[in-house]
Amino acid sequence: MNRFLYDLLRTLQNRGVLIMMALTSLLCLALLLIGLPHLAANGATSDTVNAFAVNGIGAIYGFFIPVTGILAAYETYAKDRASGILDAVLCRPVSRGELVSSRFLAVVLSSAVSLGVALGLMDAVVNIETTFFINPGDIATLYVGLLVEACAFGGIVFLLAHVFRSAGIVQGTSTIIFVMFSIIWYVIIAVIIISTGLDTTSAIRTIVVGDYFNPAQFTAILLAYNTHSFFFFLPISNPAGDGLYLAALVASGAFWSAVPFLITYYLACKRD
Amino acid sequence: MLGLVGLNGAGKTSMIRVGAGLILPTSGTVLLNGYDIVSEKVKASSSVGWVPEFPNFDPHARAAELLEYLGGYNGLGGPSFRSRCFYLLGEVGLAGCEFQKLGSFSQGMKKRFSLATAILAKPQNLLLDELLNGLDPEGIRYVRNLISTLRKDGASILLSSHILSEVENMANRIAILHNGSLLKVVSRDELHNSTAQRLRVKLVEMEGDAPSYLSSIGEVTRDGLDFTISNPTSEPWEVNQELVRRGCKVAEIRMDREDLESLFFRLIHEAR
Repeated sequence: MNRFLYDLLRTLQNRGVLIMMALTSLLCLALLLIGLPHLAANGATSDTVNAFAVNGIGAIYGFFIPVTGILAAYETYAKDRASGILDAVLCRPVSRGELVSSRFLAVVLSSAVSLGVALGLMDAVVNIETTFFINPGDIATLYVGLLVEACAFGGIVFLLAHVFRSAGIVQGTSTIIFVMFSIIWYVIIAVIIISTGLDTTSAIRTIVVGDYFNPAQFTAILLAYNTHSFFFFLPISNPAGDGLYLAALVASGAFWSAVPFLITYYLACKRD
Repeated sequence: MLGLVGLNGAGKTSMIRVGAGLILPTSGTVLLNGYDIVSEKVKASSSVGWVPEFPNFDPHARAAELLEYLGGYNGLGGPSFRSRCFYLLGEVGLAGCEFQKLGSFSQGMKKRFSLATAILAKPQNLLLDELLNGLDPEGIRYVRNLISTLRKDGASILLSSHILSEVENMANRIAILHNGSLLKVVSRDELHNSTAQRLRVKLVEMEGDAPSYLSSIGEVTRDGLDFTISNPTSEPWEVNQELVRRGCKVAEIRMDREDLESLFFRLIHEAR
């Protein structure tokens, strides 16, 4: 068997992804099972149900998917690379490029499959509770956005494994990056908005522009572009006016899903 | 078989790790069976087995399973290969530990396991970094026999060690490294047929200018009242007569051949 495929298949099973995805799905299930019966009882329309489900799923998975990407990358590559365990594989007839590519693909595939199963499950729950299905376009948007986030954080952890020679430092730095992008980011943005006294339109534009540079918020801006609302409650009448451009979204998604890994690939092949 | 000797930091491990394809050379090329370890890594690594100074494996992996997994990168697999894995573990003294987790192995057991991974695919070249460190007497005897068998089978072996006598006994040629530079490559025959001699003088009591007299007949290394004179220009009896005439009390005086240890220290001393 081809060495690339051999390594990919041997590293595809990822406990970190499975555990994290299961926990996130449980949390999301709880939200849906609490909120949907209430909406159904009040005769909510399919649009209301759709908006609630998409934004709820987007918010919960969007927050936890970076952790899933981090765990997947750490278990698949970073831990072994930083601790030197990977040397036992690297001395075998396998190229550096093959090894890092197959491991990254394993992270992407395991995230993609588990995410697909999780979103399918959520859609089924929405249908059981309300008889409506989530808009396929919104489900696709969620899927792409969340996958980009998983790839971005996975790629960042791969990169960290080539910068630091200690599994502990890789773990710690990954956690700091997650906290910075997922939590502190909005504190910084809020401080900027409040201190400069921006009006609502300018504030939304500032948030959107900032989110292009934040992989943890990619799903949020993708959903905002697709659903014309930010976080369910902030309507966006003119996406372009608020800084939401398809080309910019594509560029941001391509950048975050590919660039951290491409830098890692370069370092793996050209540096130690 | 080439023995590699040098002080700590001489570059022995770095040289072996470059040869194993684990780190990239800053300059120059390493060819294994004619293949460049950097640009043709897969072909080059196919012919190499590596034993690190401090073996590092996934502590949760089980011995036989990991051996099978690593063999997969060499395209090995199937029931006959599984049997070979069990056979090899028995050969290196790990019979009965096939299903044991590597985290429970002692350093010596890890070294034995590492040896099994190195010879798993019957490579033509073996890079053995401080192989004898951490092995018990039985392990050392096994390694000696194994090396002898591998040499008979035509394998090329690069063995680094701090135990100069072991290297002198096992290697056909010995390379002496210091501060990343190759000081000398000497064959065992050259070493054994060396005409270089040294005079060892042990004094009980020293009077006057004995050190300056000894310096006048050759290069002197001094350790208290023990003097070693490389390639002396005077016969032992003449030296004895002169020292006694100068009032020294001589406990021992003898001429012997320069062995690896004395050659090693002489070259290191000169390099400093």
